[in-house]
Amino acid sequence: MTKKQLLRSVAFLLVVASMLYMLCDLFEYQNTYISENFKTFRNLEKNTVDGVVIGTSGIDRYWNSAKAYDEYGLTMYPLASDGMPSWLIISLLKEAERNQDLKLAVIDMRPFLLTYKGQTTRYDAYSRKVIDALGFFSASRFDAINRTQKVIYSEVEGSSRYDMSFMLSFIKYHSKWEEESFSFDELKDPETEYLGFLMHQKASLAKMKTEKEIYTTDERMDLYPLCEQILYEVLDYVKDKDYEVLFLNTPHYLDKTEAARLNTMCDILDKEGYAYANYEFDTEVYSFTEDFYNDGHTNFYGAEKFTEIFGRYLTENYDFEDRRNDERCAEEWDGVYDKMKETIALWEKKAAKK
Amino acid sequence: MAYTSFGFFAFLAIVVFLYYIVPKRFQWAVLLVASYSFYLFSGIEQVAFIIGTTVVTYLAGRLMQKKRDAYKTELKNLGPDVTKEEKQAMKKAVNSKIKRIQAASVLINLFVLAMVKYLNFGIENLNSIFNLFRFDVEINPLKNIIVPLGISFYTFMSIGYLIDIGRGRYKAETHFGKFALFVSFFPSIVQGPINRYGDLGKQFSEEHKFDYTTVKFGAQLMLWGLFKKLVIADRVAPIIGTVFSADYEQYSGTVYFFGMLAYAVQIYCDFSGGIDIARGAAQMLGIDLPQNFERPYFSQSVAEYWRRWHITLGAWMREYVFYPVMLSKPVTKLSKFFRNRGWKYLAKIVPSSVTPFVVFFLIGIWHGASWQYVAFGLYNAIIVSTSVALAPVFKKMIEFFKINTEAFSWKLFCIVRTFLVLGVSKILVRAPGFTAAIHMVKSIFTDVDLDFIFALDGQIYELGVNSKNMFVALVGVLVLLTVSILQENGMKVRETLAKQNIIFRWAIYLIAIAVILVFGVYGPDYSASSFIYEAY
Amino acid sequence: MEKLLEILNQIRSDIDFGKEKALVDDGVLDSFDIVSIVSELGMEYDIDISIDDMTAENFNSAEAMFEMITRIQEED
Repeated sequence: MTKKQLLRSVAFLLVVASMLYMLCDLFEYQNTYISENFKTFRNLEKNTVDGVVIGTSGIDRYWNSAKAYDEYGLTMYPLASDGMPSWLIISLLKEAERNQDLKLAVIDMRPFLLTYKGQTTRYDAYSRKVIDALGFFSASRFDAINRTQKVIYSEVEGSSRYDMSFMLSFIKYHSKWEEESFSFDELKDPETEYLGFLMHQKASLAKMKTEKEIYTTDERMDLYPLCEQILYEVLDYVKDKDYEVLFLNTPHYLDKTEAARLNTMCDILDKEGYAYANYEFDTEVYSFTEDFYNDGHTNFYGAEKFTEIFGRYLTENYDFEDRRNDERCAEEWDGVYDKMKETIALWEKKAAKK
Repeated sequence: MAYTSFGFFAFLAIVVFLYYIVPKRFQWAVLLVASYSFYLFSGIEQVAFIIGTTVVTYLAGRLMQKKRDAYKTELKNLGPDVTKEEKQAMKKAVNSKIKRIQAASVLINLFVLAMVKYLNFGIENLNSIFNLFRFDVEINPLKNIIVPLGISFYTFMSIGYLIDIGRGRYKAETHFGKFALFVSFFPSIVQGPINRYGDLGKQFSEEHKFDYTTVKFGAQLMLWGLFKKLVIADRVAPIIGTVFSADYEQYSGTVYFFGMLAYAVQIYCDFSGGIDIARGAAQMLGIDLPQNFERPYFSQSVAEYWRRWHITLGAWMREYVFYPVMLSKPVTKLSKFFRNRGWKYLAKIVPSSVTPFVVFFLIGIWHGASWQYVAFGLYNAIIVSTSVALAPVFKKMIEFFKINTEAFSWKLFCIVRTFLVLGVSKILVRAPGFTAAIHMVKSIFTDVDLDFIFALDGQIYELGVNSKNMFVALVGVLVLLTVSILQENGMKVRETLAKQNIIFRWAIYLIAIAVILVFGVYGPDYSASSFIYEAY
Repeated sequence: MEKLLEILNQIRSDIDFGKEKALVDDGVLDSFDIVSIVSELGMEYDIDISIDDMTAENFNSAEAMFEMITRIQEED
């Protein structure tokens, strides 16, 4: 092999590598504001965040971080994604710890109330939403892949121990074009994000058509074994951390199983000595026909109420400095809430026209 | 480990790297370790089989060689005084010893192959015979027989080796490691080509220096194979599953015809693509594996097709079945019998139209242990035999009608005719049973559905491949067809490409890689619906 | 040699056996042709061409076939 051939081969491999990068970028999973939200979090100034709120759609539809900043001077960032599986909580804690000196980590209780059995295709997809949103070479991404693989391998019969497509998502998403429903818009980058809070033209304004009876119970029911095991893993993980941990249940309709499991989970947390804020659906405050777009999620107006209440709770119970005076936060946080309200006003106008 | 998996590419990269940095005299060892590592990926129990075959074949080869060498030294020692008769007697004696060793070792190999591949087929048939005669006996088929990876291929290679040594074609391999490598060489272990020791064995003793062009050509061949396999074959595959399923009766003859076309495309792209990957991988190691396909669908007769499709199997059958049968005593006697009576035509035709039945029966069951494959063999045998027997008639007809056999139109006619005749044999093996096969072939002529042809009712997209996939497959087939026509006209694609400007060349390579990556079928299924979060 | 070319021409009149040097390797002759040649030669020269002689080299050209015939005749 001559020097020229060697140079040429290296050059060719570089061109191939850059083409690969472009293809992967084009075909990544991008529904999604999730990737953008996680990216924004990664790019926040070091040590400017008080804490994170980790969890499912029960978080990013409820906790309007921009409003909390405007009203209470809090910088509590929601690291949330649709249906986020419980096994990724530790990965996200690791992600949060990387750049930020956390004072508080709020953890969603919803993922612990679920049954994963028979739902693995969905949870495979939900896991990928998180994995794909994390930095490609970051340790938290590898951690998330590892945990997902372990769960899928143990829960799904006949699944492979090493599915390369978690690492290289292109292996899975390259066939996107095959779907009849595919449109080239799916390859475009998603819309702007709002500091981890979901703004959605439909969901933010929608309201439920009828009220719903809330179900409450004193009964107890065991958590799904995998969830219980993961809960203890999480507790074990945060034990020696120098930030505080608060479990959170946001107000929504719980079915029989979920309600009974929530009771069990509160028992466990009491026993283990961990704080939790269990917001039951308070009919004095919320109404499904005004504040919720379905029985599990607040719309923009419901989020306004919840953020008000939970923000007050946080300022009263924890000792946070007022970040509005921290100029390092100004660029990312100032004016976001105003922009949000403008957008909502615009959407409301559009909806009224129809 | 599939040849199209990322694991295999990583494995190959490591092997290629080690192969060219170790001292040249250890290159064979790298390949042997690589081949056994590759084999172990498919399970540890299977290794016993291939080792058994290797040891038996190696020892039998050495033993035959020893007998032959002893005979030669003895002959030398006797000097010039020995008479012709003595010489012949000695030769006869040694040959019969050699033939005995040969027969024993070939039988052992065949026995193992028959046990794992054909035992249950035999039991099934035995049971139906018992049933027929109302014997109250039933043998239970063996469950969980492991069919070791590539056993048909390496067994045939070993048998070929034993026969060649017996015939004195070349000397037996003395180096056990190199022989074991010949049997287990990883690029060809899964689906061939069926190598002959005379061609492959000596390459393991040669020193292979890293050659940029060879390695590059190897990689290009692999890329081409991946294109055929992943972009075309795997994309049209669902059609075949749908059309030739148990619910076949709902379709019209035109759908069957379309299914046959899809199957012809799929099986060629899958098999020849796999072979290209194998040959490309070997070429990256400086090893030449024989051609296994020579654009078979351009054949103008069935006999020609079998010289261009799965060439190494055909060659194996010719060397070790066709010629031996044709030159065997009963056949030559029969031929003489006719000749002595002055029936020259029969003397010539009878052996050549009977032997194909033997060959194609074996080719049939080689492909699979079922009666459908036997029928497939017979069908091909009938066509080849008839065309041999009627060759003089055809020749007269062509002369009579003054057909210009050099004209393009005539060649095209022959190509299409051959393709369709073979299409029937493809339906024969792929249909779910004989009745289905006959129904399908009949419907093709009687139940034509024009709406389907022009995609008017869109049924064409309801056979498991939607319009987008169909479009990609169609473009893929057109690319393949173009390249095949160029090759058929003597163009060496890789060499021609190498002469082009670097920008053009690189553009081609990059497009090829991108096309395979995006349009290839691999990885877990993506279904957009599983990603939709119902909570909206 | 003359006789040989004549025999060969009877079997495949479309081939110039005097010129071709790779009858088998280039696929000019197929296996049926070769078998016909073997049986014709066996008759005409009264020799037994055995399976051991069935190599490509022995049938690639008329000269090669001629050499093979001579060798077999000598051995007998």
